[in-house]
Amino acid sequence: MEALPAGTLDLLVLSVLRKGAMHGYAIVSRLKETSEEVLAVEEGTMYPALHRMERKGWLESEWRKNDTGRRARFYSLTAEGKARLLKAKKHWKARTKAVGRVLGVDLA
Amino acid sequence: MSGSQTERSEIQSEIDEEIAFHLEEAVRERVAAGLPEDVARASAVADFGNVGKVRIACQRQRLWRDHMMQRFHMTLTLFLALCTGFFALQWARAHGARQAAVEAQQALISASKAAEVLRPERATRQDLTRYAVGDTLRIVDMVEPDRFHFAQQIRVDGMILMPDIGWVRAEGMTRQALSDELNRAMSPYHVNPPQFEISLEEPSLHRVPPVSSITVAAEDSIRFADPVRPDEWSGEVRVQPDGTCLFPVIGRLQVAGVTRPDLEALVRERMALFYRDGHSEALIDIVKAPR
Repeated sequence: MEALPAGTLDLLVLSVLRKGAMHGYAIVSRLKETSEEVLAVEEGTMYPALHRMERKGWLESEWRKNDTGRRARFYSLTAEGKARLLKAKKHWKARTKAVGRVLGVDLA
Repeated sequence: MSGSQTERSEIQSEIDEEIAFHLEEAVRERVAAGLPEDVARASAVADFGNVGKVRIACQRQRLWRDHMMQRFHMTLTLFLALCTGFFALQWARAHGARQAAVEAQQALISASKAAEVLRPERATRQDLTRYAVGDTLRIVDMVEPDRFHFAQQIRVDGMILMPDIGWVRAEGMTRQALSDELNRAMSPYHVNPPQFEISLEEPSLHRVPPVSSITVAAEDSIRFADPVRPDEWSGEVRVQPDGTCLFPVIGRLQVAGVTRPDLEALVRERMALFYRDGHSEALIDIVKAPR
């Protein structure tokens, strides 16, 4: 497992949440699963990031019962969050293309 | 300012509940994968990281306006604080981690009051030779006064709370007997053992027998601290109407009807499951709600 590249946690969380509302533990699990265990997040660091993104207006949260009947805080994307995700993805693509050009590797 | 006391308390409670849910889900998944429960809990806490730091970071995000105002205020007063800060730093280095543990315990014990007067009898001069519930004692270490110097009120159950050694019976003891008991109990913990001088700072007006079985009830508050990890596990929680309390890390416990010593034992047992070294010296104090 590798540590997340700097500045990518927000992009990854926003991307995971585009499929629907999730609680913090589900977000961490989805990240590990989708990256096939390559990307590692120290699980606790997820929560300050979620609260920060909510404060910025990219996410909203509500308390709900999960599928085992326990109360949990579910996060979902706001319209601003969706716009932010699009912008961040564009920026990420441009950056990886530029890195690829320097390395002589096609990262598209 | 956006953070009133109630708002802060609610926000902290929500943060704790969110973290407790995460840990419980992580444990549940590991147990389902075949791990023994104690291994699952230790692994879940290790993967989560420092719970105390996460709590503080989440609090800062939720109460960011208060946090910004505090930083502004600190910047303005920094010049004046610089000189005293230098001397405080020298002193803090000398007392270091030990002080953090002592301060955690003193924060736990500083504001408690004796309650539930039973068959009160007005104090007389003769009564004052033995300590009673509600007396406030001044406890000073004559060897190093900076090390231990504080006031303690004797609780309803006749106990006082001391750093390092925990709860000690003070009710019914004379000054000399209590001093000898504290000196004896403390000596294994220090290379240069303290010599306590105890004085009766303020006697209780009424001499009442101790109540040994004070139990927790709904709406009471519980103050808690673990001197082994004071930054990560200390605070105050309110007992909910259903008789439960949500503690950081260990989650929700049924506490109504439980005595303080039993609750302390239960909390220590739970804490030991969550930390690899399996060691906790958690201390609990009950603050009765007015009725």
